[in-house]
Amino acid sequence: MPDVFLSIVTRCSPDRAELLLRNTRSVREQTDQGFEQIFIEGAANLYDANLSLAAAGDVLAGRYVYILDDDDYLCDPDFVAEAKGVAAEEDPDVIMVRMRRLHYFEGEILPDEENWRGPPVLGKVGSPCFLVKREIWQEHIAEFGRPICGDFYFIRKLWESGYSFHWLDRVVTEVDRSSV
Amino acid sequence: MAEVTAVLINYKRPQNMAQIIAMLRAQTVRLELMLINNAGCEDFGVERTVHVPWDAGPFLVIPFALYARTEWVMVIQDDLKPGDMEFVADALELARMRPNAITGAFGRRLSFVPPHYAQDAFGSVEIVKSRFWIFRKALVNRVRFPVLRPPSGANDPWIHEDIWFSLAVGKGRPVHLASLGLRDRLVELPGGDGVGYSHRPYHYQEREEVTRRYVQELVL
Repeated sequence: MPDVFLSIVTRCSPDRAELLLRNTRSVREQTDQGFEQIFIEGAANLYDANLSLAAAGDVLAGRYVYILDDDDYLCDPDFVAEAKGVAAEEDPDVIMVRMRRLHYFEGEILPDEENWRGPPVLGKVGSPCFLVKREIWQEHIAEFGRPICGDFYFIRKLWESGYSFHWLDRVVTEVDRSSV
Repeated sequence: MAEVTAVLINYKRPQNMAQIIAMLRAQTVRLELMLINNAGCEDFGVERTVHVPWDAGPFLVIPFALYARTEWVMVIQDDLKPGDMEFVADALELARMRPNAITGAFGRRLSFVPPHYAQDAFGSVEIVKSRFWIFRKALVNRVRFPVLRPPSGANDPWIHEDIWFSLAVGKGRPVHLASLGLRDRLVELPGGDGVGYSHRPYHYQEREEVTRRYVQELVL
């Protein structure tokens, strides 16, 4: 298996091709290139898109896995470098980061202050808020296969299972669905 | 209902695109055309256009295949056009015989000793050049794309993912088809002065490096 720090999984959902440009460019502009990107076919509905993640599980080579859908992009060019530093120092099972939702709530940041360093709360966490060790990802990704809020159920499962969490306080991803 | 989506990529060869699109429209197989419009050229009236304000290189045709509404996707670069109206139908028929591989018209062999990006070849090959491809969209789902930096160290990671795609889909085995029959039915169009990727500095070193890296992964 190649030595890859991070597998970035990008679901490509119908009619969002324009958004993928921003995604791929932001990924390639990372200062640390120790990652791979896997593109998987999303779906017109969220349930099928959530189920599609399980299909990618066995091809990933990264030590950690991160979801960056086609309508998301990295806004922190040092994201991979910083996460790699955390992993080298503490080896956590999960690294929590923050995302900014530009399309509503005036750029709301998730998890917000109230829920940072605490148990995941429905509506206050999204799939770009966590990096998960690959083996743990593969073991629990079925939790993601829900009609809605698969990201919440997945990360709550990891929290309740007692895995170690590190809280890396950086807004690394922006989500902007305003043009969809 | 289209049977195949043609993903086209356009870079400073607008005179060629009109000819290519006209020939694709004349095919006996119904196509949906999706144009990746590199560096802001015109859209030529195709069904779906994605405007890229920079030269994104050939990489984008691969993830963009996932946006196709058809099971089968073809890629044809902007210096080639089909020479007859049955071209895509026949290519599709060949491709259906290899649903888990890529069918194309220009192949290279993989060598486990340098140079890894070995000789031009037809028939069963490990690498099919993205000048012309036809494949099932689902193949994209199973490929990991590392960031491929050129050996020159230049700040341009957008190189030769098409070689990587061939190798990764086939796991380094000669499962793809580079059809001499298809190649003979493609018409070469003017490349333009200094426009093609082969004009890039380090082009030949880069493709060798990408292939070497894949071999290294296989060995690991």
